[in-house]
Amino acid sequence: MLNKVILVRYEEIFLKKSNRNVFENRLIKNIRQRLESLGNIRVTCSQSRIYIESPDEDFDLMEAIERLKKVFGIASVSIVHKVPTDYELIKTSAVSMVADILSRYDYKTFKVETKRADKTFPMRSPEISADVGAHILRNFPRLKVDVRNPDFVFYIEVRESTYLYSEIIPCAKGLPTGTGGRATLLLSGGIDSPVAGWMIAKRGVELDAVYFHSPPYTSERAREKVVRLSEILSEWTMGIRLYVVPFTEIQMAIHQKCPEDYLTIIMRRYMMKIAEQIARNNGSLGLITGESIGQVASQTMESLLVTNSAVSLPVYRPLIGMDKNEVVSLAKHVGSFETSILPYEDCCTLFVARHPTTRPSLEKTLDYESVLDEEQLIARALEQVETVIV
Amino acid sequence: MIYFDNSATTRPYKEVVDLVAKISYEEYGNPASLHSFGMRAERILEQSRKQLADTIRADPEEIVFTSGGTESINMAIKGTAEAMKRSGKHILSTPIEHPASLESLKVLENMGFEVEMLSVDSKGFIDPEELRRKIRKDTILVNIMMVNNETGVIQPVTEAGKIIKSVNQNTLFHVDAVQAYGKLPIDTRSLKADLISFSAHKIHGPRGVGMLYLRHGTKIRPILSGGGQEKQYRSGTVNVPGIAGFACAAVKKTEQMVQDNQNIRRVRERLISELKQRMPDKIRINSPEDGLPGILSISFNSIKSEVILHALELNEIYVSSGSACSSKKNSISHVVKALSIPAPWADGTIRFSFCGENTEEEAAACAQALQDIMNTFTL
Repeated sequence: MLNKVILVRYEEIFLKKSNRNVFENRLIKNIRQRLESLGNIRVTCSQSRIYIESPDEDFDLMEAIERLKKVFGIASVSIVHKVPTDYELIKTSAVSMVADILSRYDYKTFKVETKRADKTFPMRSPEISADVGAHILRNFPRLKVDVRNPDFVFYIEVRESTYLYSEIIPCAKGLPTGTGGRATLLLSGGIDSPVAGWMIAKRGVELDAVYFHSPPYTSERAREKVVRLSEILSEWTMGIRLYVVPFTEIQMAIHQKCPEDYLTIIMRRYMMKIAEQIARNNGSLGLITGESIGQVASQTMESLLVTNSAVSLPVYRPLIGMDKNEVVSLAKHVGSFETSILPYEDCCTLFVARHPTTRPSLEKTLDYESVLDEEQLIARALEQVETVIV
Repeated sequence: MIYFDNSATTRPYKEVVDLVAKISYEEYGNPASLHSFGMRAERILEQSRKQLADTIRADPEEIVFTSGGTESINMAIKGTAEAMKRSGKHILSTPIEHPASLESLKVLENMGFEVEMLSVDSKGFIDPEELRRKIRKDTILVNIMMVNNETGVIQPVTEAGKIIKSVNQNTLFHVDAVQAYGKLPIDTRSLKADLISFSAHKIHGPRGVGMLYLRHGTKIRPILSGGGQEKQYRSGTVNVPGIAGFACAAVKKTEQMVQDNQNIRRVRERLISELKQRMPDKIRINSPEDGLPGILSISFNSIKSEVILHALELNEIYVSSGSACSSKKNSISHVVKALSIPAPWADGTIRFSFCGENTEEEAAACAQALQDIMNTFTL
């Protein structure tokens, strides 16, 4: 990527006055981690921007951009041409870059915007914009200047070197991973839970995930699918720890001892309790679920109340007010959709009553649950938890 | 490990693997090349063709090599329809064919052919008299599998062939022998079939190899366009190592067929008797007693077949639920449906399929595991 630099912009971090350094440093660390396998890189920070350069001739710029699109905290990036601060060179470079832009897009209007950080440069910003603009017009007679609503903006930043760019590629936004604590996601094989995890991770939160595995009622393929979903999520979250909890014994016990219409709700409570213990053991500050009001019987307001009262950690439900199609389009954005719709049954689908209650009462639930040896069941499940580092 | 999924695929014989490796590495010439190195490969190809033809008492010229059972079946059905469409558009089949047949027929139906299904009884047998009644002047093709891949039922294809030819000389007869080959004698002199499909990997041969028997004088339109290999019938560089491996497997499997079948029958009967003794009310045997011994379909009461399958897998015992091809879809297989197995049973249908290397001890261990599973996991 000789003479090319990736310019990284972040907006929201800017607002965090006293913590700004913490956020910037974390973002730089995350960028380094995501790009290091691509080759040598130099990451520098100046005036609220991050610049990424590589001395490698064969540095894969496009792959770097794809990865940066999945780094939370980045508002947008641009591929920038870096030239020595020499006015003639700036003008000729501008012309060749505009020629390249016009070969790819059918643009008719433009404007030039200049920032002069290097105040020793003899011309002032408006002068540079006007003069380079005029030079572009002379070379491309079909273009017109439109300062209000141009098809494209040509940016010039004069520093010790000069940076030229036009395209601004929007990125994930949010806050840098690792600046928001840790939370534990209840991950099933479905569409919702990966999206829920992604939404919380977007706020800088590191993720652990818990999956409940019920062989032989769920297959190895179902487990593989959850590992794959964790991998997809981890592209956004700088890694995930996945805890696979053996759940068959608990499901069987509930099925044998509790009324059929309360199976799902009691099972959900066990999942929450186990997830909470795993969360507490690993420094998580909350649980995340993919629940959305009314989507299924176990997600009515009444059911949520009963599930929620199984735990004392806060439960984050970022999809609570979303419709299915909104979740689906987010799942496509996250990249989890195609994997989520693979048809392997997970433990929620095999142990479903024909008519699960939609209005469970907490009192009855506690009464039905009391026949189970909760402490023993949960302790045994926790003993056999398998940790997968993704 | 106990492998009772031999109708899905088999472990290749060691000598097959060695031969395929040796020919791949040493005789890598293209049999279509003009030079002598290519001719050496051609000689291996023709020798294999002869060996394979001999196993079904056919002429080597009647053998076309393909990429497997699915391609052979596609070629037989679509190729016949294309070649015969001016003589008529009526095709007869059974509803319990392999998806390679059923899906090919669906394509033809969409192209305007009339596909009529013969009925099958509760064991899956066709009625030869119904076949006789249904053959018309414009019937161009009858398509029947010799052995059903889910239940092992053996169709009366020899009788069917005689009936077809006595009613309409011009009606072609395709037999899908993918599950039958190497397990039942197939003789093209007594079996009046014009086309027969075969696959290598069901008889301990390599994947990706199959053949189509094409009786002298039978015209089909090729489905692949290209260099015109296999006498224009099947374009594409010929898979010499795979075909040599197929021939090697076929010769061995045919030679030990009787002995294998005796052994397999013992394994099958042991599994059945152990299960009958351990859980007489919980099993229902779907396969006919006079079916292919290597395929045994059993339904278990009030448990999902996936649960049994995954529980067996925890004991390193491998079986199929329904048909391997449909077991990824979460629905009852079309064969189970056609056999009208009652509801509490249909969901719990498992196919055990054996090979000559399985033992009675394995059958006993499998029955023990099934008993434990039924006790533990029945909801």
